[in-house]
Amino acid sequence: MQTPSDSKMKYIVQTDSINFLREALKSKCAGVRFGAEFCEQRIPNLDHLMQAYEETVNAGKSFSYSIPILSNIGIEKIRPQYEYLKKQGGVEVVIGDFGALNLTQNTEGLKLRLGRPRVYIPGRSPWSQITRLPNQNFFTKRKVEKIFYQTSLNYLRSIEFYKKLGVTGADVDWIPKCFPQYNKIIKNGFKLSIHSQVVPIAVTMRCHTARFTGESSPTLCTKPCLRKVFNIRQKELGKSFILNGNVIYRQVEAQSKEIRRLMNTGISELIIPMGPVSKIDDVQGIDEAIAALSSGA
Amino acid sequence: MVVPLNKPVPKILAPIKAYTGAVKVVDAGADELYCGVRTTGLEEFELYRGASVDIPTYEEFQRIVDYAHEHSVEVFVTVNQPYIIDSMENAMAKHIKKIVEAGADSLIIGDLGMLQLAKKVAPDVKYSASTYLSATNREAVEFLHNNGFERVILERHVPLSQIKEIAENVNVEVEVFIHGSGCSNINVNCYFYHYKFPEMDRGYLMIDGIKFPCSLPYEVYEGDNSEKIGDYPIVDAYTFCSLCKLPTLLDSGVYGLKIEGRGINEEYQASTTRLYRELVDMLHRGEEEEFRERLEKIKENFTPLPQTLPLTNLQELCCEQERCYYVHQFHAPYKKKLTWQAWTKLQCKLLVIQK
Repeated sequence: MQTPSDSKMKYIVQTDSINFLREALKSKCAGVRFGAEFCEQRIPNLDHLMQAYEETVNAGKSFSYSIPILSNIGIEKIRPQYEYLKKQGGVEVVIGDFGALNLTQNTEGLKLRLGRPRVYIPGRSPWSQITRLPNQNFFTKRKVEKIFYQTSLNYLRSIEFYKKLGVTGADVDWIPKCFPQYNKIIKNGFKLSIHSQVVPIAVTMRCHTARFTGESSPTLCTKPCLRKVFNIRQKELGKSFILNGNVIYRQVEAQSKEIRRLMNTGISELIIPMGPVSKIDDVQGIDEAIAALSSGA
Repeated sequence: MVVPLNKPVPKILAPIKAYTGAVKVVDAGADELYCGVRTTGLEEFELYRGASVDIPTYEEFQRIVDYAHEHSVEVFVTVNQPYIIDSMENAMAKHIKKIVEAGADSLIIGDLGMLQLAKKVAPDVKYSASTYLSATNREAVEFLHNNGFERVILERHVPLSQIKEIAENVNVEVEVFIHGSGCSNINVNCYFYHYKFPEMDRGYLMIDGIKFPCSLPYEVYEGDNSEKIGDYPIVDAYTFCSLCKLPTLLDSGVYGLKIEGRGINEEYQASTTRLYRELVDMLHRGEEEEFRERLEKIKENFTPLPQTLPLTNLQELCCEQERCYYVHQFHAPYKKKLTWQAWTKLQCKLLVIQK
C-alpha cells in the first residue's frame, strides 16, 4: 500500500498522435499515455500503436494505452491491439469500456486501470454550489455535500470487485473538493492518476462538433477535433465550456499550491493532455506545464 | 419488413410513479412495469431525478406489486443511483431488502458496487443492468451478464444494426428504449444534472415551475476567436420516438422495449403504453400494411400526452425535428436549420405538456 511519504509524483503526457508523442518523448515527462480516451474514431491504428510503444520504450519512458467507450466496431479495432500489447508484457491499459474490460479477462500480460468514463464523480458537474440547495437545513446540506464529493470508488465492495478482475487503479479529475476522497481510495489499495487541465462533463457516442464541421458519418470522419476546439457559453447560466469532438469539458486550473495537498493524498501520476484543448503541442509546452505544476511540489 | 411469427414478442416495460398509474399501464397492456421507491435516509440526495418520481412509501409499493402480480405483470425497481459509497450502504441494504420482501421481481442496478451489495442482501432476485452501466457493445453486455445481470438495457446510442448483432449473439435478455426523453449524451457520462442547483435558477427555462437546463441554447465560438458562429442547443434534451422502426426492432431479437417517463404524468404513461401495445401486437400478427396505415394516422393525430394540452403531434415533435430515435446520425440529433427560438418554443410546449 502506498503512503504519502513514499509517493513521488510522475508527470505523464496524454496523446493519440504520433507527432505529439515524439514531442513528449523529448520532454521531462516520465511517460506517455497513448490512445483515445473518449472517441472510438480516434483509436490509433495498430501500426501507430506499435510505433508509439517501441519509440516510448526506446526513449526509456513508461507507456500506457487508453481505450474509450466502444461500439461493436470499436471492439473489433482493439482486439488485435490487445494481442500485440499482451505480447509486450506488463503494458498498462486504461479502460473506458466494460466490453474492453471483458476482453482482458482470462488473459495475462496486461495491467488494468479504469479510465475516466468508468469512474463516476458527481463533482465533475458544472453546478458547483450544491451546498446552497434550497429548503434544506445546515446539517442536511452538509450530508448531501459529503455524498456529492465522493466517487464510485469510495465503496469498498466496488474496489474489491474490480481487484478481483485484475484492475489495480483508476483515472480521476482535478476536483480539489474530492481530494480527501481520493486519499481514501488509495488507502484501499487502488492507484490513482489525476488529469489536469479539463474535466469531462458530457460525452456522446455521436459527435457534438459534427454539427459545425459537417462530418456526416463515422467512416468519413476526418477528425477535425484534432485541430479545432470550440468555446460554448450560456449567458443566462453564466457558464462557459470547452467543446472538442464528442466531449464537453469544463476548464480547471491545477494550482501549484494544491500539488502538495495532492501529493499528500498519495496520487501517483498527474496527466497532462496534448492537443487543441490544452493548447500544448510541443516539448516546450509540456516542460512549461511540468515546471508550473512541480513548483508547488 | 414482416416480423417472423416465430420470434417471441418483446415485453413492453412501462414507467409508473404511483399505484393509480400502475393500474392504468397494466390496463393499457404493459407486460412489465418499473418504478423507483423513495429510499429512507437518502430522500434529500437527488442527481438526475427528483424524489417525486419515486413511489413515496413501501406500503404503496406493496399495493402495486400485488396488483401487478394479480395481472401477471412483473415489477422492476430502480435502485440505480450511478454510484454507492460506504456511508450509503446501510440505507441501501435496508431499502433493497424491503422492496424485495414486498415482491419486486427484478432490481434495476446502475453501479457494480451496488450489484455486489444487492447480491449479498437479496441473492434470489433478478438483476437488470441500468443504462448507467453503458452497454454499448456485445462484449459489454457479456461482461454484465458474466457478473450477474439477467437483463441488460443498451445505451440509447447503439444503432439498430448493432442492436440486432448484440441481441442475436448473447445469452442474456437485451432491452432497448423505445420512447421518451433523452439527449445526445451518454447517460452516465453526463453531469448536467437537472435539479436544485442555484446557479441554474438564473437561466433556466421555467414553465409552470418546471426547470430544464438542457433546453437552453449555447453561444458557440471557434477557439479563442471572439466571433460567434451560432447559437445551438448543445446539451439538447429532446423527446424521441421509435414507432417507424418497430418492425426492425421486433426482428432484432430484443427481449424488452422500454418506455421512458417515470417523471411524466399517468396519462402519458398509459397512452404511450397502449400505443406501443397496439402496434407491437399488430406487427406480431403479421399485419404490416395495417401497421403502415395506422402509423401515418398516428403521426398526424396522436399525441401520447394529455389531450387537453396544446397541439403537439408526433409529426411535429419527433419527425420534423429528426428525433426519430433509431435513425443513426453521426451528429447529435437535432435539426440543423431549426433556429434556437423555434427549438426553445418546442421544448416549452413539451414541458407544459409533461407537467
